Amino acid sequence: MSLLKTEKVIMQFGGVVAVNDLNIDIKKGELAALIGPNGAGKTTAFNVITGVYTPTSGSVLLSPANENDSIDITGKRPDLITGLGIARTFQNIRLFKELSVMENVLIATHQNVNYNFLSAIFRTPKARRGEAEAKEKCEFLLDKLGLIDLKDEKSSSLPYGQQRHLEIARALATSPELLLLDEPAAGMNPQETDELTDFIYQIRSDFDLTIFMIEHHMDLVMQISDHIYVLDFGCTIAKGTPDEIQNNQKVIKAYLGVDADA
Amino acid sequence: MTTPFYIGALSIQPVSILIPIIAFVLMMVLMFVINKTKVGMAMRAVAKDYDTAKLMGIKINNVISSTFGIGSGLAAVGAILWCMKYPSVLPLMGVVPGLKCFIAAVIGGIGNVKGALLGGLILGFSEVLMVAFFPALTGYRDAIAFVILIVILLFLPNGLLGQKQVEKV
Amino acid sequence: MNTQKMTFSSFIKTHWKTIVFLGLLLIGIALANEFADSYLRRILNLCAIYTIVSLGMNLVNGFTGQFSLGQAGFMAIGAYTVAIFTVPVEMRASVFYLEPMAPFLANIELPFIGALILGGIFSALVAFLIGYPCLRLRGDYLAIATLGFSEIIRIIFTNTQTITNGALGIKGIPTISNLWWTYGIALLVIIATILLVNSSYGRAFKSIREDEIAAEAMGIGLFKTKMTSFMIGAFFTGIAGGLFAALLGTVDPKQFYFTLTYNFLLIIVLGGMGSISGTIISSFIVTIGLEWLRFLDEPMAFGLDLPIFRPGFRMVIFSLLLMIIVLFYRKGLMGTNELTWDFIRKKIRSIQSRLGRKTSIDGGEKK
Repeated sequence: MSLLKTEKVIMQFGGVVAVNDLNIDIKKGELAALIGPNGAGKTTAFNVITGVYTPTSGSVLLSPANENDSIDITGKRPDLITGLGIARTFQNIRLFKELSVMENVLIATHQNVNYNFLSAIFRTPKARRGEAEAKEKCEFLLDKLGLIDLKDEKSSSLPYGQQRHLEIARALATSPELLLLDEPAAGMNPQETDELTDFIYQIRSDFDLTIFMIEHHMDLVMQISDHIYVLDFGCTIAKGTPDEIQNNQKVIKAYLGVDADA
Repeated sequence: MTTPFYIGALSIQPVSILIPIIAFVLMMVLMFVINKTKVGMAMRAVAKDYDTAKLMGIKINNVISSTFGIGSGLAAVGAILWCMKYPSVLPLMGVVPGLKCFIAAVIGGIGNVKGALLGGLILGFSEVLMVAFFPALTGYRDAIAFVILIVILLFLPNGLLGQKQVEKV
Repeated sequence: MNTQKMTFSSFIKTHWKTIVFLGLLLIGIALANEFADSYLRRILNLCAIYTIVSLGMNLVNGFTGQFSLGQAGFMAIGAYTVAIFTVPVEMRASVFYLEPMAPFLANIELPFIGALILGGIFSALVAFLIGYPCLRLRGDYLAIATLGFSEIIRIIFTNTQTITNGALGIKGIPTISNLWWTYGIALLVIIATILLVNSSYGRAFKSIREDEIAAEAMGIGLFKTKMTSFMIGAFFTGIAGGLFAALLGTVDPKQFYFTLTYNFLLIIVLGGMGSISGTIISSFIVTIGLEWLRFLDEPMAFGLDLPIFRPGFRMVIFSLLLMIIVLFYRKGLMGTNELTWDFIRKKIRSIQSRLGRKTSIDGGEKK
């Protein structure tokens, strides 16, 4: 059953077509990857899915588990899309720098608060309970991701790798069904990348996630993906299993830079 | 300059014609500076992307200083023109016009010289016309600028001629 | 905040210093209320009122990161609400001598506390109307739009003769504000702000300040959250405006010129954007400083017949101060830190160790 579907999505900025006719179909529970040379429009595709940009045309459909039909989320506000079960990380880490690790994760649970700000000021039993539950959930997450000892540190003081982990923890705190990872292995050495592979497997099974990621490390992508989509100049030039992609002439051309007209 | 001449029943002070002409000429000069000179190019680069401009070897502080200088100089010219028309000087006379100028720039679209002219014209005309047609609203004269500002920003968040800024994620 | 239930004795044990401090403050207020002269009392009252306004402003500017400059307008709404509803009915004819008060208002008189809260609510409602178009704007646009709104409010008040008595202002407001009122409400506002900022809502405010795009991606509704912060800030400011009116006994539109907002801007920048204790401290510094610098407004000649000091000169000094802070001391007194007992202990220790090192280098004795 498909969880996320994009149909003929086109994203134009002025004269530049960043994404041209994007058709993606992600099945529930699978691990899909989006690859392509720099500037192929991968992050733009993510931004269209998460509502940061409204596509010029086309539609994005989400089928959350608790809904019978698929919901058209094209151009919806990012916070509403997050509420429907899509969480993301950012390519150039966007943590709340001045806030602590714990606060960073707690913020992601704010969408679930069921009490108003007056209850929060007066610390009503309901607010206390909500706060305690949120804390418990976040501590559990931080524990899972090995950040629990750092929970009171300022997030910007964390080393790079742990900042990436924190971004994932924060995304998980929104209780997503679909997790979008934008270059999770960027800037990591081979050993860290291996660890990340295990880590992604682990969170997928622990949190029953569907994962869609942008990545440049081909070893990682080929090893863990169920399906791969290849973008070049905004167009989907190939899709399939890792084996199919590895043998696809168009992909090889796009990566090795054979003449465009060849 | 203030002795009026007559065209039929209209009495016109020469300054009233001179002021718009000077303003228009200065706008042309400013557009030339911004669009055709090296300093202007640096200004636009700094406005677009501060950090990248720095990396490209633009001396940010010099550019900002010169921009500030040009802007302040133009404000002074504006004040001189103002005083030709309304000959009295007060220490705090610049506060409200200064605010309205900013509003005019926002209405026209920040970063657009023609927009500033357009915004200024819209503000000036609507103030004068409102008072002329609805004398009862004379007390609200200073409020009209803000009302226009809010109405325009509500529908065109980037002003009339401003370009939409896409934030990179 | 500890979520476990605290027993009374453990509460006393962890917070005894704060309790002692509050007790001393209470005694201080009582003493000042009895013995201080009216000038000193008025300054102390102003300190408390400015604290409330600045906290409201810091909630929006410091914690939520939205550059709003509408404070003077919100204060005016609170002040006029109190003025309109607390002037005794029989006195109104003499106050509104140019044109009588509008009939639908002329016979309504409210108790002070009611008028105060109503003023806060009106402020918050106007904040909603202002915020609706403006909070979608970025940075400087929001600043200029809110500044504009505070001017519109002032201009409206100048022109609605039968409601606000126009440029004449309203006189004869019962001067109910005393130190108990102002400090009592200031304390409530401080506590409410602390509790709010440390709740889930407070974290949502801060996330918007840190990174709007990331906040949105974490499910924070930008507009709704900004609006909450903006309305709470306006509510506080409206209440402070009401206290202000009942302190001076008279309101007129000129008091709420937009330059008033700059005082609060100075306070929050000096205290630290995003610090509650910093705001409180700098409210006192700025308010007392403004009074203390009044001698600069007295004419005084240096050498020749060139008078240097003249009315308005203290504002020059204050502007200079603001520029110096912004240029060299960006984060203000406290940055985003709070003045807790732990913070004080650490500061004292670091100063001690610095002094100790210095004296040991000098070969002197350690303190």
